[in-house]
Amino acid sequence: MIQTTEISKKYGKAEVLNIAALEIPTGQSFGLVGNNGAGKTTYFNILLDLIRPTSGAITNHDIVVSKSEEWKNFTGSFIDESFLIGYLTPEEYFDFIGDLRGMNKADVTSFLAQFDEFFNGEIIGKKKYLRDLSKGNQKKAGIAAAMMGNPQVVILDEPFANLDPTTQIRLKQIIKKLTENREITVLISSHDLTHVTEVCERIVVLDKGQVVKDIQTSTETLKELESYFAL
Amino acid sequence: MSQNFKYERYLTSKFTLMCVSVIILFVLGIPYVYFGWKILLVHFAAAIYNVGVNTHVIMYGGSFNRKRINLDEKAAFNYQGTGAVQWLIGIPLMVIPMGLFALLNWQIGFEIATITLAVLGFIGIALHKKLMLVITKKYHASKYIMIHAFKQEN
Repeated sequence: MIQTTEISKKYGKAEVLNIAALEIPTGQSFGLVGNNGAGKTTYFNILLDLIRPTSGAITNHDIVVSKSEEWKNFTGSFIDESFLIGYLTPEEYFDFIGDLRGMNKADVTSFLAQFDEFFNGEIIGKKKYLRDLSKGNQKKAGIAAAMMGNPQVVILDEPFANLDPTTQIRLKQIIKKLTENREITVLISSHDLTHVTEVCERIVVLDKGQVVKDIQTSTETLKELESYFAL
Repeated sequence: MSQNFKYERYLTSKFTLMCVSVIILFVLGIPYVYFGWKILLVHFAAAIYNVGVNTHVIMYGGSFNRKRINLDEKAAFNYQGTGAVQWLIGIPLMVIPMGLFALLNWQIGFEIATITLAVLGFIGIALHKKLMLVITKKYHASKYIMIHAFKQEN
C-alpha cells in the first residue's frame, strides 16, 4: 500500500504538486493522467525519493521513502533514460540489475526469455551500447529492468511514449499479466487515455498539481476522460 | 538512485576501489628501494596514511561534487571534472601529509615523521566505520541537490 499525506512541492512560489491524501492499495493497477506540467513525474520522483517534497510524506508499504532506503528492495521503476547505464550493453545492464536484485545469471536469462516478443529481437544480442539504442528500444530495456527481481511495486513514467503500436499492445499484455494476481502494485502515468483506461483499474487525473478526478475504470471512463480533456 | 543499492554500499565500494589502487601504486613503487630503504619506508607510511585518512577526505569532499561527468564520452583528452574544486581538494590530500612529514623530519627526525604518518593512517583505519557513518550522513543530506545537479547537462 502506498499512502500519500499532505504532499506538496513548490519551486519558488509556483506550486507544482499538492495532494492532500491519496491511498493506493496493494495490487492495484493505478493510472495517473494529466497534461504536461500536471505533476505526474514530480509525484513519481517524490515517491522514489529523487526529489524532496516541500511538505508531507509518502509511505511505501509502511516505509517513509525519505527516511529509509528499505523500499528499494521491492520497488522497480523506470522514469527516464538516466536510469540506464549508457556505456553498458543491454545484457550487461540486465546482469547488473539482476545482481542487485539477487538474481543469478540463469535467473536473468529465464526472466528475459518472457520478454522475447516485447524486445522483438532488437535488444538482446545486438552488441550495441544502451546509449546507441533508439529512444524506444532504451525504453523497452528500462521497462524490463524495472520488473526484475519480483518487485511488489512497479513504477513506470510514460511507458507507452516512443513505442511503436505493436510494442504498445505487447506492453499492455505484460502489465495486465503483472497485475493479474493482484499482488503487484503498478503505477503508470500516461498522456494516452486509451492505453491507461485499458490497463488500469483506477485512474487519477492531475491538473496543476491537484487531484481533480479519481475514478474506478469502467466502460464509460474513456468517454468521461476524453470529455474532460476536450475543454 | 532508486535501484536496490544502499548509499552505504555505494560508498564502501568506492572506498575499496581507492584502497586497491593505493596498494597497487605502492607495489609499483617498490623498485624505489634501489635509492635506499628509507624511501620504501616513507612510501609504506604514506600508503597507510592514504588508506586511513585520504580516502575518507576524498569521499567527504565528493559530497560537495555538483558536476556531472558524462561517462559516454571518450576517455582520451577528456578533461571533464578537472576544475578548481578538484584542485582545492588536492591541497589537503597532498600538502598536509607532505608538510607534516617535512616539519617533523626537520624538527625531530626521520623515524618520528614516518611513524606519525603511519599512526595517523592507522587511526583512520580504526575509525573507518564511524567515519563512513558520518560520510554517509553527509551524502544523504546533499542527495537531492546532487541528483538535481547531475541532471543538468553541464
